[in-house]
Amino acid sequence: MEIFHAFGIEWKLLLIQVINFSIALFVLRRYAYKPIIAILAKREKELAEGVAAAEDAKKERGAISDEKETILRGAREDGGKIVDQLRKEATEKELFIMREAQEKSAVMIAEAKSKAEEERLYILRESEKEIARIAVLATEKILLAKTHGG
Amino acid sequence: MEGIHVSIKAEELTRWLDVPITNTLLTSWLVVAFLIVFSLFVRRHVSLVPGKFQIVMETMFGGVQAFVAESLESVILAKRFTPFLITIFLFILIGNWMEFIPGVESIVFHTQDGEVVPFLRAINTDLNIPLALAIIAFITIETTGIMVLGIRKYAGKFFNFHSPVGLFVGLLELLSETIRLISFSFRLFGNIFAGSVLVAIITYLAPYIVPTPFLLFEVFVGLIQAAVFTLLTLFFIKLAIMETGH
Repeated sequence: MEIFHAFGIEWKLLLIQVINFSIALFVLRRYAYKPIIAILAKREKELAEGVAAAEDAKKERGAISDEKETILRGAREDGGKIVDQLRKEATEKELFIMREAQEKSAVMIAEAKSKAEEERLYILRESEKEIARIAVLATEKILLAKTHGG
Repeated sequence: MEGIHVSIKAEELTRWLDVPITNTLLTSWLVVAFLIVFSLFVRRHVSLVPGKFQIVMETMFGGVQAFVAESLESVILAKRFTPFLITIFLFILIGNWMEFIPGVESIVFHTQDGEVVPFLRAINTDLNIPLALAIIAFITIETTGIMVLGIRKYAGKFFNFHSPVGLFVGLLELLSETIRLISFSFRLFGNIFAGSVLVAIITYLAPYIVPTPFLLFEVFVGLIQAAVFTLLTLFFIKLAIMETGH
């Protein structure tokens, strides 16, 4: 055709150009794109792994933090219980000691009272005896005086 | 002073096994050689810990792949087509920029017929090369459409017997599909050839300093045309794999 001739179009040249382009595509794909694609894929994989590892670490940290919180809460509760128990025991002990002291002092007071009573009775008895003796002596004196005077 | 010689056809340097060895064919071999050397260079310099060169390569490749994935709405198709699209881009770009290497189009060759012709010539100033690339893009687009949609569905885009309007629109689609071969190749050829003629004329009229902005502009045009050809191929692939609306 005239137009093909005018533009110098020849099927052989077209075919050679198609082959040229195919060679360029083959070589570029094999030696340039493939290594770049492989590197990009590898880096993407490593990045994904890194992100996953960071995610795991975050989760682990969360779990550890939860565990720490649980342990602390438990310890706080235990501590509180222990303190309560001790306080209770101390109160009981205090009451016991006070009660004991009260009892002891009551006994002591009772003892002192009975001793004093005994003492009083003894004194009374003794003074009665003394009075009796004095009375006898007086009677004797009176009698003696009467006898001598009379 | 010799006038400007403008030839729309690539000049034939010699013939080998009845194949015309033209100056653009020779330049296209240089482009392929350059791309092979570039590939080997990339292979040698790729490592897990990237250098500056590799960072640029990775960013460009990754960026293009992401863009293709976004356009085609498929990562699998993006992985399949990105190497092809980048190769088209590089092939056209290097071919266009070859023109600005000193010696290209200025070193001459004396043919057996006694003609004096440029030894090397920008590849896209020869319609054979844009046309070959357009054929490759066309085959890729149509094959992708058939493979993704299936031959019945894909053919249904062009042969719609549900209504006369549908049939007419389908046939128009078929026509525009085949015209694409011409628009694809002539756009690239026209722009680069025109640029080459423009630079030749300016250089003839004012050889010093004045051609510089034109050369810079042509560098830009070379880049834009490579991008346009590549992007259109991508968008036509997208159109080919899209199902028709009802």
